[in-house]
Amino acid sequence: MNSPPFSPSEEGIWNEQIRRRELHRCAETLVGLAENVQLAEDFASEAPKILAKLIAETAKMLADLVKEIVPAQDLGQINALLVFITPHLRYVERARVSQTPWSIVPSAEQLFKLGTNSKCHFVIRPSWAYNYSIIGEFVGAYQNCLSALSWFPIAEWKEKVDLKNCASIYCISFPRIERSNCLLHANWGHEFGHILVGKWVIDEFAKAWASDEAAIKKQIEDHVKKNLPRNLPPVDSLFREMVIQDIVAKEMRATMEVAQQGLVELLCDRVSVHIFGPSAIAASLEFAARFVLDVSPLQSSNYPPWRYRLRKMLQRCKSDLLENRDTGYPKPEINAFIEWLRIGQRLTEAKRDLEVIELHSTTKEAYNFIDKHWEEVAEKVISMLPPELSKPYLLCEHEKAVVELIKRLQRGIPPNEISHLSREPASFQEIMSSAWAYKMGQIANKPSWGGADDFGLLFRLVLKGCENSFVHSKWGKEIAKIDEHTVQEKP
Amino acid sequence: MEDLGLIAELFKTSSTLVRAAASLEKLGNRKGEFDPSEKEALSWSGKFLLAMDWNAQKPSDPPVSGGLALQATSVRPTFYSCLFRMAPQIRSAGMQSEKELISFLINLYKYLISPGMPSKGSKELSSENSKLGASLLREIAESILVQINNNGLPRPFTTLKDEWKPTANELTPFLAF
Repeated sequence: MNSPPFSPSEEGIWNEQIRRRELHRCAETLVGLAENVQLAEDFASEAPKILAKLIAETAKMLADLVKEIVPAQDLGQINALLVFITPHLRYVERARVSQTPWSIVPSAEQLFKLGTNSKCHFVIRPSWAYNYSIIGEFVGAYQNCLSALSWFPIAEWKEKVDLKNCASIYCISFPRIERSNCLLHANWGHEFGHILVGKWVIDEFAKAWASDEAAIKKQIEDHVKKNLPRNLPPVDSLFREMVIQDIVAKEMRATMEVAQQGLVELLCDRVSVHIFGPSAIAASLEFAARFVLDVSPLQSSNYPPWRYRLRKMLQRCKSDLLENRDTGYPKPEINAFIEWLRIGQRLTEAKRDLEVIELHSTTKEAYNFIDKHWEEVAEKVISMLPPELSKPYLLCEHEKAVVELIKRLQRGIPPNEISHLSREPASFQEIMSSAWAYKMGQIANKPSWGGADDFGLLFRLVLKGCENSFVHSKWGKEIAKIDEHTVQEKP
Repeated sequence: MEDLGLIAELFKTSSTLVRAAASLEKLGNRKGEFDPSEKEALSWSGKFLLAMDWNAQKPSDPPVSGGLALQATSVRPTFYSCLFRMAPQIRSAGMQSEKELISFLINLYKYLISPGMPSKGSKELSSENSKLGASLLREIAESILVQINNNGLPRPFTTLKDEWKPTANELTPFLAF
């Protein structure tokens, strides 16, 4: 027997019943998962638990509301919201102590908090994909989504997620296979840069784009009209002009995306070099060497070609690559490292990346936009760093300390303090610089160096150095007081 | 960076368009007045559509603010795709030429920007045109949601990108021949 088809209202009722029931069940399940993970797992910092709490509280409120209060027209939005937040729980699960280079996590978090604020939290987790990335910002994104729903009690939500003590949460990922290769984790400087640059994008990119949009549109429109195929297939009479506008609109969007992503990545590189100095460049050089250097942004998710990025990074480290006869820079301990960076500089003398950019109107217009705004924007982003990080990290200015740390590595001692008697913990950046310089020195001077044991020892020493230095910087003063007290008590 | 802020912005845009579509449908069915939250959603949607539609903009119009310009650039191709998909409905509403379609759209934006208060040069929206306008808003809202959640389907692990045809494989209204 054939039944008549549903009327739109009957279909609506069928849809609503299933959605309310199933969305409620899914939201409740999510609450359970997010609460369990907070209790059952062991983490290197509080950040993963804070993210789990955000997910649990949000899901709990949605579960309660979806039963009756959510209007039928918004059930699709609730589905989208649950689909959006549920996978975030995997970042919490993967941040367990056993998955992360836990000894370096507190030092990294301390540095990132210095660059943002103490209410900013960082979940550090591995990913099986071979790349570094940052995801965020969670609190703001959740708040923005929820505030779009007129029936959602946003004030109650803010209280429940304790917004006063949790300004923002980011998740920073690293390649799982590089867990112990802490030298490569200098790439976290780039990921940290995304936080600053993200703020700039919200405030400034839109203005810059709006001011240049008309001129860019004109260029693209001319290009599209000139290159339209002679034998266009017949077009629906409703849309004769709109067909061309559609093509221009897609080109405009592509250009904007290439310009935005290009500018953002280059700015993050700039922040990374500013904070870590040559270690940031070394990490990028080793990472980039595994891939093609001159791939068009249109083929690589709008990222600038590696060669373009390396050139811009190396320009910021010129003074570290120059000899200074007055000061005797670079000392023999770091000479091999500097030589290796100079080879990187020769790599960027080739201009194949620029040719690739010039070949396509989208990348050409996007990089014209980047060139036009680069200097001003880069200065603005660096000026957003707090006073403690406002000065660029130059190896030539830290040479003495770094050489001390290299000597410790050479003796098989963790590079955690500049001098045992001075009670001065080494900074995260100095430890990284010494590790890179030591590695390049070994490679240049000992052809047999580079086996798994050699790397393993170096990584363990550096990880230990970071951990000790963190403990030292956080509790050093109290330990010193106890030491003094003990000395005084001795007869 | 996987920018959750961008996803949140798209979600917000979609939610506001859904609310505006429901309000416009109410007008089409001649059911009651708009409340302030509906008026706000309608007005924002009107400004947003106006920022997207190059045909409706005049050189004398004040420049679009930065944030809206950026959002409009992102969503504009979706706007055209939605219009192309709605060709049968547009024809059923009696429009046969691009000129008539543009005139309908301009009138729709004017109405949305000042809901319930027809501005200079704009006509009251007929019941049929209100429903057509609501369909357009809903179509754009749903298309945005599909971009966020891929409609429940897995995303392809890898896609081969042809850098010379970034617009390939998207719907354009070329007639089958």
